[in-house]
Amino acid sequence: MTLNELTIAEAGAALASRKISAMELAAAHNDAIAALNPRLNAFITPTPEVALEHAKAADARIAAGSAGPLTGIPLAIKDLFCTAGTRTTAASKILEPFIPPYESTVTQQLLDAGAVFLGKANLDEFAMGSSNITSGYGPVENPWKRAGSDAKLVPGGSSGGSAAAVAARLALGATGTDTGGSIRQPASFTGLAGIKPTYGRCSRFGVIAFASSLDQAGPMARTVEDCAILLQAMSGFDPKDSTSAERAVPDFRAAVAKGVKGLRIGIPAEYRMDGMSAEISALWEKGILLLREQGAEIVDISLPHTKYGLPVYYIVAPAEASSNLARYDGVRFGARVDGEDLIDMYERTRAAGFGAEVKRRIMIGTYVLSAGYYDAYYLRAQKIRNLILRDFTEAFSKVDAILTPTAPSAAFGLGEKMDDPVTMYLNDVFTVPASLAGVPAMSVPTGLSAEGLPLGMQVIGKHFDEETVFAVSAALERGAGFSALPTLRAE
Amino acid sequence: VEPLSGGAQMAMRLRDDVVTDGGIQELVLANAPDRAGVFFSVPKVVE
Repeated sequence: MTLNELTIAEAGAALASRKISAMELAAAHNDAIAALNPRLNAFITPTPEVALEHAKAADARIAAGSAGPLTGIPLAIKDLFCTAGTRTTAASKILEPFIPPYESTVTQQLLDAGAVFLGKANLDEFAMGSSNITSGYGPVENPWKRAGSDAKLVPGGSSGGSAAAVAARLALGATGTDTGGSIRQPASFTGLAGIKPTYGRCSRFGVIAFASSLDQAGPMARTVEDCAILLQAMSGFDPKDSTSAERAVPDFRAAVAKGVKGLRIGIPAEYRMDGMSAEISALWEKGILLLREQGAEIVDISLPHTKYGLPVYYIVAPAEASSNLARYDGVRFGARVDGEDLIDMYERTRAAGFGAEVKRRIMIGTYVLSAGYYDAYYLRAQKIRNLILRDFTEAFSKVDAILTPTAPSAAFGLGEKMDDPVTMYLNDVFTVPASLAGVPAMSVPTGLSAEGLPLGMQVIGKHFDEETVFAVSAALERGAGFSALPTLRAE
Repeated sequence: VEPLSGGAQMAMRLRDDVVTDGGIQELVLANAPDRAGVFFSVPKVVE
């Protein structure tokens, strides 16, 4: 086995027992990035020197006997997390020159745990997208291929660069962020595990804002256990984020081994939508069977407001985005295009700096917040959001976790679903309800499509009960025994 | 039905009304597209 194929748990053990060094591990990943990133475009900014510097410090820490579970582990950092001294773009041209003077809390905690940062991973511009094609720095190619075809597929989005990097063995794990499915859908498209924790579990300080009431950071990795190890380091109360939860962080890694015996797993009738493909339907049945075989009890439940999830999301998220993105005006940071006067400068700066999808969402958001339409759209959406939360609260009085598919299809081709933005938005149909309710949800690779592409199942848990999500996800992972590999990967 | 503004399952936290940072003028200005001394510079606003 090469260094690039290790899991985080395996690499941690090998580093601790001095079988490998953090420098060797970082160098192997730097080499893989140099070889494959020109094709995959998974990283906007590889930082090989930073990686070696972090690795050197990690080796010193291991030698001193003060290593943690992430000391020396090479990670990709979604380019939405501010990293002090390393350019952070949010995949937008408007932030092309931006070098943050401070570190996000999540990345600071990873650094404190000894992690090695390989570079800043590509994403949809400001995390708005489901295919990574809206990046101002070019699309990411999914390392997976359909059987017998070399057609380029999308890695999903918005954390598509993180997903491609981990799937192609360019990193052992990655940070992602999830506003409506941006960790879970790309994890499903690339055969990875990825968790969006409970809203409030990970600090949002230093994570460039898209929709503040929905944005949550989370890990992506090749196993459920690796996600648990990463989330452990990323979580915790932060006084710098007013929505950070003042709660103790449980032992997530221990939860992975708990099993599902006696757990009640809900199957929501409303997720069985018209037109669901036979393939996804069969995958869901397989997931149910795998959990039942391990002692879980399957319970039919109802989440009656599911069909309003997407319309509510596509009002709330753009509304918050239009407000958050008002700060990009070419005055204090970011790119500027000069104009005849101040207003002209603002207009030219924003016209040149934002891509088409970001402009579309700013316009939708500004419209739904405007005086004449606020009650009809934004306020109404917030009320329905409460009903969606209530659906989950009621369901969780009967069950311990909920099992659904992650996405309506496997990864699609670059250039497909691009004609109409609504077709692209439908990718989030199974993931947005959990985002709106703020509950934790994880995607686990569970099977392959007829064309040989990975498909994920989603496990949704109660607020702050990531432990049960990890337990159920690990049971699915054990049962499914997913071992397929992407075509493009570091050997 | 009450409108739900956020995903946080908690009341908003208040902190003491005290200055918690400051004295980082150069860091604040470091990313300015244009600056004049210790100020952000913009095109002329008042004729």
